Amino acid sequence: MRRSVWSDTIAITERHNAPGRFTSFIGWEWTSTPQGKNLHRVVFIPQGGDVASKFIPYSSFDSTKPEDLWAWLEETSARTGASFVAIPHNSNISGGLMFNDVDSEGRPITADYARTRMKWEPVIEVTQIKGDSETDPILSPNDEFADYEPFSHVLDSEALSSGAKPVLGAGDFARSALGRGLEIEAKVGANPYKFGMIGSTDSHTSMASAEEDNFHGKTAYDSIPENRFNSFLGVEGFGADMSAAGLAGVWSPVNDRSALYEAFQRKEVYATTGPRIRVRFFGGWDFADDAAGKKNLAQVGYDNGVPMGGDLTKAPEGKAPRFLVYAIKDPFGANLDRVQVVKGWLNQNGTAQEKVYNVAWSDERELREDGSIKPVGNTVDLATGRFTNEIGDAALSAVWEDPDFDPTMRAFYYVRVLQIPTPRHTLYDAIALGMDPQKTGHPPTIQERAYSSPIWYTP
Amino acid sequence: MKRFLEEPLVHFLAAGIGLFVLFGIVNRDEPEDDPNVITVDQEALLTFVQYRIKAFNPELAEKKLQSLSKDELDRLIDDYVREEVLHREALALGLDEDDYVIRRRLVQKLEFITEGFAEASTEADEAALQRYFDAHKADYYVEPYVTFTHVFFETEHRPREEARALTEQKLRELNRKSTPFSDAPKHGDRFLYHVNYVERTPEYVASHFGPPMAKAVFELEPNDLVWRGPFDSPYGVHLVLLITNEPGREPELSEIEGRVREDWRRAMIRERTEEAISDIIESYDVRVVYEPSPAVRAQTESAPKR
Repeated sequence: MRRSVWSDTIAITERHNAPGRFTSFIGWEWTSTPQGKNLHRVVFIPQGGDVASKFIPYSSFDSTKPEDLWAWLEETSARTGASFVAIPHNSNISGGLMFNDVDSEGRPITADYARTRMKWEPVIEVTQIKGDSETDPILSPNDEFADYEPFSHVLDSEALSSGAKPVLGAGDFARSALGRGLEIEAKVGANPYKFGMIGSTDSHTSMASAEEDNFHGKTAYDSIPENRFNSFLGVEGFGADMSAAGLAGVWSPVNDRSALYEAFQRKEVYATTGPRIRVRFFGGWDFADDAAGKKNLAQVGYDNGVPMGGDLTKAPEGKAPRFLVYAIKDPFGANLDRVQVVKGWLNQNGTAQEKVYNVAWSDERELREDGSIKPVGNTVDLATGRFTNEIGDAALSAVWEDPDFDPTMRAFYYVRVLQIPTPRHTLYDAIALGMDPQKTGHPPTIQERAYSSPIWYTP
Repeated sequence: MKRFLEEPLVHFLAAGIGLFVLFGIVNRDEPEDDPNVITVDQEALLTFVQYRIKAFNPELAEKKLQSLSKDELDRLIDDYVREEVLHREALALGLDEDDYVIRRRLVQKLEFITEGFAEASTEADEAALQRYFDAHKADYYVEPYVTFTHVFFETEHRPREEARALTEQKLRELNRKSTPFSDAPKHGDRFLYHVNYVERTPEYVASHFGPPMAKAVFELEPNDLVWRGPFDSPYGVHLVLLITNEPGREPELSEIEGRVREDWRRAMIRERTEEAISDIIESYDVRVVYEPSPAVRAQTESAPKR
C-alpha cells in the first residue's frame, strides 16, 4: 500500500541517469494555485534514490504558501541530507503574487524572507509552454521586442469558463522582478529576486523537445492540428495559444547530478524559447576590444571576469563594467538577428529603471543615432512555412561597455539573443489545415530568443 | 502453475483477498467500536507519526515517538485527535462522496496495486526474451559514429578561394610536421561549434558541417597520421584528422541482455496491468443508455470550428 507515485518516480529517474551522457534529476512539482494564481515550483534534488526515498514530496495540499514549502525544505534537508533547488514557473499567470513586494501574509518583505527565498530558489523559469515571462509591453513600453508569446489564460477552470484574463503587473515578470529585487535590497539589505533564469517546457513528459516544427501541444487533446484551435469542455486545449518553448542551458565542466546542481547554485544557466542557441556572457573591468574574436573566448572570460549569474562590485576609479558576449545559433535552426544587453538599475529615488542596448547584430547593419537597428527582415514563406538563413549571422560576439554607468547605483545586466523570424507553430497548423495564416489569432512568424542569467553590480 | 500465474484475474483476486485480510488487521475502527470513542494507543500514534513525517519506517517512527517531550507528545495527541475527529465527521457527513480528488486517488491506488501484482510475477524465459528482442531490433540499433578533430578557415571575411589556398598550405604543414590530434586547436580560425568531435553520429556532424561534408567525413578510413581535406562547410573550409569510423550495427542479444530484459519486463507489466483492468471491467455489466438527441447532434456536427 505504501508504494506510491514517488517510489515509481524515483525508480524511473534512477534508471535513466547516465552521468557524462544524460543526467536525470529526481524531483516533483509543488502546484500551489491559490485562487487560480499560479505559484508552481519544480523542486529537484542532486542526490539519488537512497536520499529521495527518505521523504515524500511536499505538496500543495500541505500548504499553498511558499514560506511553508521553504520551511519544509529546510527541515527535510536537515533530516535526510537532501539538497533542494525550487524553481518557480509561470510568473506570468501568478496574478502578481510570484514576485510580490509583500509575503504570503501581506507583510513587507524582510531581509530574512529574501535570504530564505534565495537559499532555495536561486533560479526561476522565464519561458515555457504557457507563455513567456521575461517582460510585457505594459512594463517595458520602450522595448520593441517585449510583446513575445503572451499567455492570456488563468489556471482555475471557473475563471477560465468566465473568460477572465489575468491582470498584469510588476509581480508577474522576470525583468520587473529583478528591478524590484534591487529596490527591496536597497531598503532592507537583501535581495529576494536575485535569480538566474532557465526555460523549460512544463510538458510533464521529460522531453526537452519544444520547437515550433515538432510541437505537440500542452495536452493530448491539442496534439493534432485539427484540435489546435479548439478546446475540450472549455478547459483542456487552447493549443494555439500555447508557446512551443523552452529549454534550459547549463554551463558545467561535467555532465552529472552534482556538477549541474552546482551550476544552478551559481546561476551559470540560461534560457531559450526552444532553439539550442548557445550563450556566453562574462562581466569584468578589463576585457580588451579584441576579446570577442578570440578562439579561447571562454578562457578569456573566466580569466578576466565573472560568468552569468556572477557579481561585480566596487568599480575601479573611472571604469565602467565591460561585458564579453558570444551567441551561436542552433546547429539545426535559424541564424541570429542580434544580441542585446538588458540593463536595470536604481535611480536616485530608489526606483528601478530599465534599458535595452543592441550590442551585436548581423548583416553589417548600421546602429542608428537612437541606438536602434533596422529590422533583420523575414524570409518565411507563409504558403510553405519554409525560411532560409540568407539573413542573420551564425554567430555574434562583442565586447560592450556600459555607456551610462553610475558606480553608486545598484544594477543588473542580462543578455537577450534574438533569432531571425521563423514560423510560429500555428503557421504550420494553418498550412496543414488550409487556414488563412493571418487568422490564427497569433503572428505567423516570431523571433525566438535566449535569455542569460544576469550579472549584478552592487556599489 | 505458470498458466495459473499468467492469469491476470487470479492476480487481481489474490490482491483483493490479501488486501481485505490486511485491512482487517490494520484497520482498528471495527464496526463494534463506538464511533464516539477515540482510543489513542501506541499503534495509532505510530501510524500518525509516519504520516506526519512522510517516512514509512516503523523503527524510525518509534524512535521519534519515544524521543518526544511531554509537551510535544501532548501536541501530537491533540493533532491526532483533531484529525481523527474531523475525518470521522467528514465521513459521517458523506464528504468523501462526489469528491474528484478522492475518487482519482482511489483509482490511482488500485492501479498501483494491480501493477504491483503484474510486476511480482514477471520473469522472462530465454525464448520469450529472444522473441521480444527480434521484434524490437530497431530499438537497439547502434548508429554509426566517428571521432575526429579539424582545423578551420572561415569564409565570412575572406573569399572561399583564398580560404581554400590557406587550407591547402596548412594541409602540407600539418602532415609534414605529423601534427597530432591534441594540437588541432593551435591552428586555423575559431569555428562556431567544436574542435574535437568524439563518437558523433551522422545527424550530429551534418548539423554542424552540412550534409555534404558529413557524408565525406563518414566515407574516410580512420588514420591518425594523415590530415585530409579540404572539405567545404557553409562556414568555411576544413582539414580533418579522423581516428575512428564505426559503422552502424545491430548488437547481439548477449551484448545488451540486461537492458532488453528490463524493457521486456516493463512491457509485460504494462500489458498485464491493462489486461487485469480490462478483466475487471469485463466483470461489470456496462449499459450505455445515453443517446444524444438528434437535434443536438446535427447542431454539433455542422458547427464551424473555432
